Amino acid sequence: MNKNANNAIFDIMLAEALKERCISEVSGIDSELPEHEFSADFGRRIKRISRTVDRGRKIKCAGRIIRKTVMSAAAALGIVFCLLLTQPTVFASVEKIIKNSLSFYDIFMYKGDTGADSFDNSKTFGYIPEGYAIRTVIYNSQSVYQVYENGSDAQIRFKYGSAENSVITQEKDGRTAETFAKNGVTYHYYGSHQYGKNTLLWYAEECYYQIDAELEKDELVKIAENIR
Amino acid sequence: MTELCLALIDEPSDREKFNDIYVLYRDLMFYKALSILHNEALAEDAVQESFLKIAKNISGISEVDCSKTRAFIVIIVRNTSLDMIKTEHIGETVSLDEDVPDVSADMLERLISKEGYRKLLDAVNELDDIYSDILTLKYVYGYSNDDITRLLGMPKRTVESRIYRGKKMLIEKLEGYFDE
Repeated sequence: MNKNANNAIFDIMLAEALKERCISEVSGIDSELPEHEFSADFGRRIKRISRTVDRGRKIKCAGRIIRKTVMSAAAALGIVFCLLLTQPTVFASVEKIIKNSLSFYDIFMYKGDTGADSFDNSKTFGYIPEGYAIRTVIYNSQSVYQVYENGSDAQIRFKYGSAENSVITQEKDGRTAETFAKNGVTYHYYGSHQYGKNTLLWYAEECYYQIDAELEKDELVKIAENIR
Repeated sequence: MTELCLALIDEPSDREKFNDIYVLYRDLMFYKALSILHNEALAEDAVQESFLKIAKNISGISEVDCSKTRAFIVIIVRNTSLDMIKTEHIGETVSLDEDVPDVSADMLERLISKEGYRKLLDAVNELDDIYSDILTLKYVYGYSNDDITRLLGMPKRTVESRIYRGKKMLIEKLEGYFDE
């Protein structure tokens, strides 16, 4: 038998011998001991100790209950959130919030009363780059959306609308952002490194304007200055 | 979750258990402490200190009125009283490399007999209380070295040292018995 086994067997025998010693010791103690009159101070100290006895256990129990409740609630919320994320609109909103919080977006907000009674939906390009022609126009009460095409895949997308209470976001990730003024108008330009589609955004005459196209900045500015 | 809530409400209150222990064993503890400290005021302090230790480990006590709990209480108050004398911890060190001594196969063969067990019991009864108490807490009550350190408020090295020395003394005593 190896020495670990020998030690284990000895420990068992030792435990039995120690138990016998304990029992014979306590049974030898006189159970009829005279009652000792403890001091008042002793009584007070024991009362204080007694008050702390339950407290620890109850605090531990309460702590365990709270911990389990919080974990269960977190798990349930997590499951609900994951299920909601399967909905495209929810996913898109969450993505937008995350990107906003991580500053992947610029946000343009125009609040307040423009004072305009009606929205002019007749504006169009005064200057159209060579090869392009208007193909699609979509109207609603507060905005207009136009698409110009050149016969291949290239498009110029033009959108304008009432600035009142408008919020426009522009993705910054992978793009160069530039703000400049020309002829009293402040332009926001976003140049794309990856997909070639550049954006020009500005406010004028109580309206917001946005052009997205695979055109250089100067060309976009030229279009902007010639809108009629 | 239900079980935890019930534990808050239904479990016999630890405070009731503590109060039962106080009523049942306070005089025993006092006279045990007095036999060591020979001073009533110090004995009361030792008893109070012992009750503090018991309160912190109340969950380890199942049945109040039994010989096992009685023996446990005696160990606590004895060690608390000895601790107040403060002579035992000085110089009690053991080398980090020393292990508890091994029991040889030859000795074990001799122990596994009625006569051999008798000799073990004699050796245990002759062991000083400061060693037998620590060994009892470890091997009878199943406390770890860290538990014993917390229970008795004793340095961990002291606990380890007493386990080592206690076992070594026992084995040496047994070797002496069997050589006779």
